[in-house]
Amino acid sequence: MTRPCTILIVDDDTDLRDTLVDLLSDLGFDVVSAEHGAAALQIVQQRDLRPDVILLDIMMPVMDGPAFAAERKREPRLATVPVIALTAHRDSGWAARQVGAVACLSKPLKLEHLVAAIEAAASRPGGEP
Amino acid sequence: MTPPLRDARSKQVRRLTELSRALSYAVSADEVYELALHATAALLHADQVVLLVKDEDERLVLHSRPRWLGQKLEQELTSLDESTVALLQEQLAQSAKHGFLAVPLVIDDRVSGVLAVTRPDGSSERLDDEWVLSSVADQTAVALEKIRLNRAALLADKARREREEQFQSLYDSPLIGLVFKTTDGKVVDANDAFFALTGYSRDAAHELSWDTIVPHDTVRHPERPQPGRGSKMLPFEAELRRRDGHTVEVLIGSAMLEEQDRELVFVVDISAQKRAEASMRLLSEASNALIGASLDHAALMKSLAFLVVPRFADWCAIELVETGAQIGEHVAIEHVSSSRIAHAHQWRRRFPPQRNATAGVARVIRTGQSQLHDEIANAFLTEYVCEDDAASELKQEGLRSAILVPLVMEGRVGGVITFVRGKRRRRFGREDLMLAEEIGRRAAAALVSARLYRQANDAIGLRDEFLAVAAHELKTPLATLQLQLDALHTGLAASDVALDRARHRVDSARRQAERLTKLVEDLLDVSLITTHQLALERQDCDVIELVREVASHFEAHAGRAGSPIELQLPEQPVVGCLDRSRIEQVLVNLVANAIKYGAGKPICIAVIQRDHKAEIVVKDAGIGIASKDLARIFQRFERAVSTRHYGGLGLGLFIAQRIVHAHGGEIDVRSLPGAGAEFVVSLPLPRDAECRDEEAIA
Repeated sequence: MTRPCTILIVDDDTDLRDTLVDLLSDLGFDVVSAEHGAAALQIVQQRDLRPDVILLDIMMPVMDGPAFAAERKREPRLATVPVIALTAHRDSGWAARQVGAVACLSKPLKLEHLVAAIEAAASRPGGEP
Repeated sequence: MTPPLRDARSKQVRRLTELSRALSYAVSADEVYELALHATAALLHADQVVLLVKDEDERLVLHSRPRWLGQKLEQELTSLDESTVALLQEQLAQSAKHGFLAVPLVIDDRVSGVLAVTRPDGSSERLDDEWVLSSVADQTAVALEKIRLNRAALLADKARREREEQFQSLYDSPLIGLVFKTTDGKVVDANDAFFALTGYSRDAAHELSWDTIVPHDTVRHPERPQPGRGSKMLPFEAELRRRDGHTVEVLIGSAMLEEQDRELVFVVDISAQKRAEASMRLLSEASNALIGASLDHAALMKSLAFLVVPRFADWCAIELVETGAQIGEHVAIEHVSSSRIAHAHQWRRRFPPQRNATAGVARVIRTGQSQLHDEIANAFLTEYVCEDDAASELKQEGLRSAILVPLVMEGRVGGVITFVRGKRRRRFGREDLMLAEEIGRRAAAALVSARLYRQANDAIGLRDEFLAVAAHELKTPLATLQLQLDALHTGLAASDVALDRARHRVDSARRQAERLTKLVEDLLDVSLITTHQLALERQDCDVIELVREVASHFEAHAGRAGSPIELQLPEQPVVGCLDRSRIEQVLVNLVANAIKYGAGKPICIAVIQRDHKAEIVVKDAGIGIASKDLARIFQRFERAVSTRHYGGLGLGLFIAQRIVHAHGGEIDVRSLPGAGAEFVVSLPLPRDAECRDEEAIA
């Protein structure tokens, strides 16, 4: 990678969000996080952020995963960015479809699976599944 | 003829004349036998006189004087003819010491008996004796025949009188209509029952035509035989048209009379039986409809209303009543004319039922008693709707008769069915009320089943949703825990992990373990509360100190969420004998909710002491709760928000309320959507001695 891969994490669980920021930063990723979809959109617009991968939770207050996924298409900075869904839902396929994700990781997460999924998503030519 | 002989002959003639006279007065066969035997013995100086005759039942019977001790002739003989006489003679010859003589009793050239004698001396007067015996036999035969004919005539007369009495009682019966009519359908005569059935008067009988009363097209007998002289027709069902235009279901039978060119017709009203059959059929179909119908209340009642109109009523309205309500909501209205249904709904919107109505639905709901209004009175309509305008509109509907029955579900009135008939229909009676009540009972049973099924389904749905939420809630901290442990593992393997980084990760992992523990404890508490096993362990504790501790515990978390906690606490301690850890649990649940739903705005915790009570107020300025959700947020697995947006098991308020109730306190909530929520816990503060050792939380 010529530049560090930027990951946008959108998850309302503070502990999980902080842990993901911590671990992925340690692994050399640029990490930005938000507690829900609306906060994520605000950050992207304020900082002119162009992430390479979005880690997206499904259930969140204010703006949940599906609502954010819909907004993403109207935001040029995010429209083609691949989304990895993070879910505790039993049916991960359903969860992935809800947010148009290229991959879906079920909670609890294995770090190596997460990293592999991020790298696979980041190397995709387009964001749409 | 010598003088002694002449005397003897003269004596015989006199005796024969006396016999003839005596026999003419005889009124019974036994009297005739007695006279004949006696006269024969006297006339012929016989040792033995035997009279063999047929009795009233055509059996051979032997009469004798003195008693015949010979062979039982009557058993051997089966008929009376010349051979009988010969056999008797043979028998007599065997038993006679000197001689015997036998002659037949003959009527209309038919032998009806035998008269015989044995004598000590049978030589000199044999020819005379035979003449005398024949004379007695002839007189006896004539006398017996006369008695037989008299008896037959008496019996025939009696039978005729009995037949006439039987017919008269039939004619007088109020249950069977009898009509004499000509073969071309003109009514000649009829009994009172027939006139009562048809509504015509006896004076108008001669103008009546049978085809007017029983139109041919109403006859329900596919193979009605053509009447012919002497023929009997199989009974058939038909509709009898009364003078007032109403029809009555009848059973008709008839017979051609031989003597007159007339037909006798009987007509029986079978409308009650037909109604009973129709009732049974309706009930059976209602049961089928209710069993096979949807489990949705409205659909269930619509199918029932559809079934009873028009078969049982012209109108049917079914309304269901919520618990404690005095008026219900119409779930089904049916009318013979479907165009009137919309009108009925419109009418009901204009004149909604009144709680204070002294008649009709409101009264049935209050009393749980059925009502039968066989003739709807104007006063009833006014009471029913409580408004003159509404009553006058109802009067124009031409309603005649009504039945209202309660739908009693699990001991309370859960609805009312109203059946109404119009002016053209028969009035409702007691038997209709019984049928309506039975329909009501079956409908109520079906509604209860549907409700139980729905509740069971809801419970299953709630449980499934809870399991999904519980799994989600348990997985989220596990995710963090897993990642931290993975990172630790990787770092330790590479031996390049800095100590402070490792400590940080262990701290995070411990927090997740605590979260998991809290979730599992909540689940356990619910289980204990449900099974009444959660007990309080009271000790003196200071509520102020407890609030401070909880606020301190949440300080960092609240700060991160943008909801700093402000405390408004009195200077003095607020002490009571409480289960410290359980009250702490209540505060933790309320404060956690305040942060979660606080929309990043400040939170306030206040404690106020009033007499021997502490009021703890936890107030946020967050998303608030809709008034419709306020009642259910304290129930198990319930929440006011969508699980799509907010996590949690939905147990916090349920557990908090049960703990507060176990302390004898109350928990209340005031909230408006978008304006935050204020939870107020009101706790009695008993002294140590007043505390009960242990109270179960239920």
